[in-house]
Amino acid sequence: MGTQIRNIAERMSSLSARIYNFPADSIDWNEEVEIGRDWFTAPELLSVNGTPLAAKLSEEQLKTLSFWEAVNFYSLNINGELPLVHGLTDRLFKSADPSITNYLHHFIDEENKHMQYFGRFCQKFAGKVYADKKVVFPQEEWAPGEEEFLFFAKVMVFEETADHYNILQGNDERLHPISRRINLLHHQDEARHLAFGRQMVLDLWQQHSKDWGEATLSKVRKTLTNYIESTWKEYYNPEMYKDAGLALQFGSSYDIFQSVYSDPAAMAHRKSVNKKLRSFLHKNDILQETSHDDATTNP
Amino acid sequence: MTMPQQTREFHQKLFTWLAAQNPKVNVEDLRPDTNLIKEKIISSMQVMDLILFIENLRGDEPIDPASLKPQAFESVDAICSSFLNGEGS
Ligand SMILES: [Fe+2]
Ligand SMILES: [Fe+2]
Repeated sequence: MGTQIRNIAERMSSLSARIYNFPADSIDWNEEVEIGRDWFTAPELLSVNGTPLAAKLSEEQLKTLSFWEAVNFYSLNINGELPLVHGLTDRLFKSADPSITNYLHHFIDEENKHMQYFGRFCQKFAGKVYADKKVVFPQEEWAPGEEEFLFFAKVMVFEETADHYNILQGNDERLHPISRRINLLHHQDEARHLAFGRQMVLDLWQQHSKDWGEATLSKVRKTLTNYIESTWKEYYNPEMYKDAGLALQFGSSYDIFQSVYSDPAAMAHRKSVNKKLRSFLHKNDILQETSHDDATTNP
Repeated sequence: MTMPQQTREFHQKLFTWLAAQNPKVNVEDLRPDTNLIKEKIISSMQVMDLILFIENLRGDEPIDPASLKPQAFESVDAICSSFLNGEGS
């Protein structure tokens, strides 16, 4: 690993150390939560935004959906953070560089705290966390550095996408104060994770990809492209349509998922959210502009 | 032994779904015990879609996350016995 990643790790560690706290305690959990009365997700960020379905929903229905979409958003964060903490723990003492190890301690600490407030919201107000629907088939053979690169690249995809929502919602006065606070708190930590993560991805790519043959390169790119798409599908979890009571009125929750996911408005939304991520991946030749596109395909 | 009607329907729906995901696969090539993972008919990335489809076949009933293991998706038989009321043949 180069000096750049060490510098970033050291800088992020000192920032983390400075703000060390218990974020879940800074939320007023006694605020009243009434489903259907407040926004818990910004209306423009609802999965249905701009689709024909949204036009058929009353404001109360949209607000109800905004609650279940928030539960889904917090759940998908938990479901991404669990394996992330697991993966970071596995890597804690593998780096020869103590500044990396030191930063990983902060990273793990912060992700654990995120799960506390995400989980608390879901348990307290929805009585559940939506289950993770990802199943990983074990891969027997990895090229040198492939597994490591994909681990950090996936973390980056997952965090970049979620952070877009956090940034837009962290200061949104329309949102219920608890939801606003959760988004703000999460973004404050994620900004550091992303700075570290981007450099990690870049270093690993530069270190290993030159030794990968065409077959490995194309497999890695395909895995990453697919991962971007499956990350997005989690934002359209059929269970939230069901819990918001839409399934009775508009067909099965699976049908709603399919039609919303493939709606041009939703595709355009995904494309615009991914702009920064894609330009990073393209600029560094990690994905190629031509490599078959992205979250704009149909489910 | 004849297969219950519902099992046959589940098989058919799953075969059709699997073939639609993978342009190299024809419905006729699929058997209930075809190994979907080894034959690379589905990837881990497609399993999420498959889970949503299975939940739809269950009448929008979410599946128990504890049962989400790779072996449960090894074949159409495995899928049926894991998630569709043990209706595997
Ligand atoms: Fe997080
Ligand atoms: Fe993070």
